[in-house]
Amino acid sequence: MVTKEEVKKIATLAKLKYSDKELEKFSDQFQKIINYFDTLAKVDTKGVKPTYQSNDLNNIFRDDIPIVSQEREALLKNAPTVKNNLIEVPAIIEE
Amino acid sequence: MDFNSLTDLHQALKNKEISAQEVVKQTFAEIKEKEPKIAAFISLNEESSLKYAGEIDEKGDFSNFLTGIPIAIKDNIITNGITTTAASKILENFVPIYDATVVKKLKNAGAIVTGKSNMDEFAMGSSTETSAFKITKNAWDQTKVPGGSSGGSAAAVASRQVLGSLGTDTGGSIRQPAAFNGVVGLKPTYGAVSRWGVIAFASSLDQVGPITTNVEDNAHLLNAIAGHDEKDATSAKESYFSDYLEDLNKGVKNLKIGIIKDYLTEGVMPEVAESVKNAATILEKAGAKIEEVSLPNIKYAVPTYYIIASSEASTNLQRYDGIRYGYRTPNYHNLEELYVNTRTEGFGEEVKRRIMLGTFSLSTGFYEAYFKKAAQIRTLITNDFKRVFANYDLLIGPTTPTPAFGIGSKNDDPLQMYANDILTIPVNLAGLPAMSLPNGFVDGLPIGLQIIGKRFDEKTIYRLAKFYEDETKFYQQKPEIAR
Repeated sequence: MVTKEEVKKIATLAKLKYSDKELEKFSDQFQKIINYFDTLAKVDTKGVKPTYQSNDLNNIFRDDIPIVSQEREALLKNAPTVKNNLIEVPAIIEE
Repeated sequence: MDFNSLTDLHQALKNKEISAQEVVKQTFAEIKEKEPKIAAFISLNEESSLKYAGEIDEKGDFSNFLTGIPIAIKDNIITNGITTTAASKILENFVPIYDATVVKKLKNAGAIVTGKSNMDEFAMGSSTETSAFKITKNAWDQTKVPGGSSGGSAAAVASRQVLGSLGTDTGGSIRQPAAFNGVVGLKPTYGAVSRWGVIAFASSLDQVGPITTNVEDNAHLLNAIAGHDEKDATSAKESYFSDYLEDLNKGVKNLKIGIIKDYLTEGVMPEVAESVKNAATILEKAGAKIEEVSLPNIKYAVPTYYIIASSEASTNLQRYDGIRYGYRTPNYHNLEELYVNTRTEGFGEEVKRRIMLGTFSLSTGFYEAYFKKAAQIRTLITNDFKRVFANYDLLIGPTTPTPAFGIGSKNDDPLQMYANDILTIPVNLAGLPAMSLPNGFVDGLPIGLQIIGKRFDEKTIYRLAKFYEDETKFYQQKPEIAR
């Protein structure tokens, strides 16, 4: 059973927020989906290797040579706010 | 549109019966006429399409199959200078500064990007209803969903606004809308098509693939986009690729085909199951060897997929934080509030639900029981396929349990919506290629035959599909809006 408090904690980890009213409906749906996930518990997977990717590639290496991928000016065009040619963010140290 | 296929259009361009500019003008006239009913596009690219077509006409070289041909691109595929939103408010004003590899390849082949097609937000959905911007309608019946998540790409082709498009398929997102709209959609082998510049949903499952009105066009379009790309570390080596048209006209004699019996039972409409059996009869008469096969672990595919895909999504979508690009909330007093409010206001309900499910499945104390368990069952499902493919060339089954459902009919029950993906998900988990091919109609709505191949054996899928298409000619039936 996933409690409303636990759902709130998961939301904090995911950097999301649900209002108390939204939480009512969401927790119920969430619980139902987790119950559905729980049907997998009965499957015997003892000694089975997990699959994280379906191709047989291993690590791909290349030489560590710096290249220009994009120009700064172009990259900054999509930033919400820019100041002195830098991305502007709120102060992270509270006064 | 005066043309029924990319092949027809290419011939007409090559024979100078029509110019690229005329093709583009005709395409946008079609779009303007049909969009009020279908709503397949999030944005259009008319002005530069016309300009580019003019340049193509001036050169006058139409030897390349795709030169001068309009193609729609799903809006989670990055296009230089054209707003790319993934149908999310969080990317509403995002204008990419480069092209995805698949877009670059299409452009190099002379194709014209006419617009960006609607989809479920971040490709999370099976009906295109989770788009932040509009609800796309099924080309055959505008009260029905077009399927999803590549609903715009499939409906645009089915309504003949364009004759080819790109979609992406993480758990059925090309095949299911192709089936619902009566067009041909292929999900290539994982690693066959570059994911560089494709907005990530679940990186171990996502693949880009073509949607067209017929099989030959589809193979042409795959020829243009497949291949090794050093920018995508999961891209297959060059030696895996060959001409997808090579075996197109070889027929089905002596092909060993397994009909998946687990795909014909639970929750599958009897008429849909019947249509697959009819297909088997046609193939058998033509000399294919057909036998029933079983994939016993398929029944666990839906929860397995939703754990894995949601976990990967929760990681991939961490990047949307309101700092470097995309939406930033005006409501904040400190950095934490900026993150939380940006994401809470920017993401839609379904995307947030998946992020929550993924965060839960990966979190301390739950990882072993959910994410790791699902990854182990993924191995069992993959092994099921390996076992049957030791004895068969192809597998067949339906693409979806039912034809298209009504708009709004499954919105309130996520589990019911997820269950709809049961027949398409297993292929993504195993990394195999699979196609949905038109296979007749139930209650006036199209349904699809799913053809599953061995890894990197798209050629044999096309071979069966071309034969079956020639036999049945379902592609000749068009929705009213395209007549």
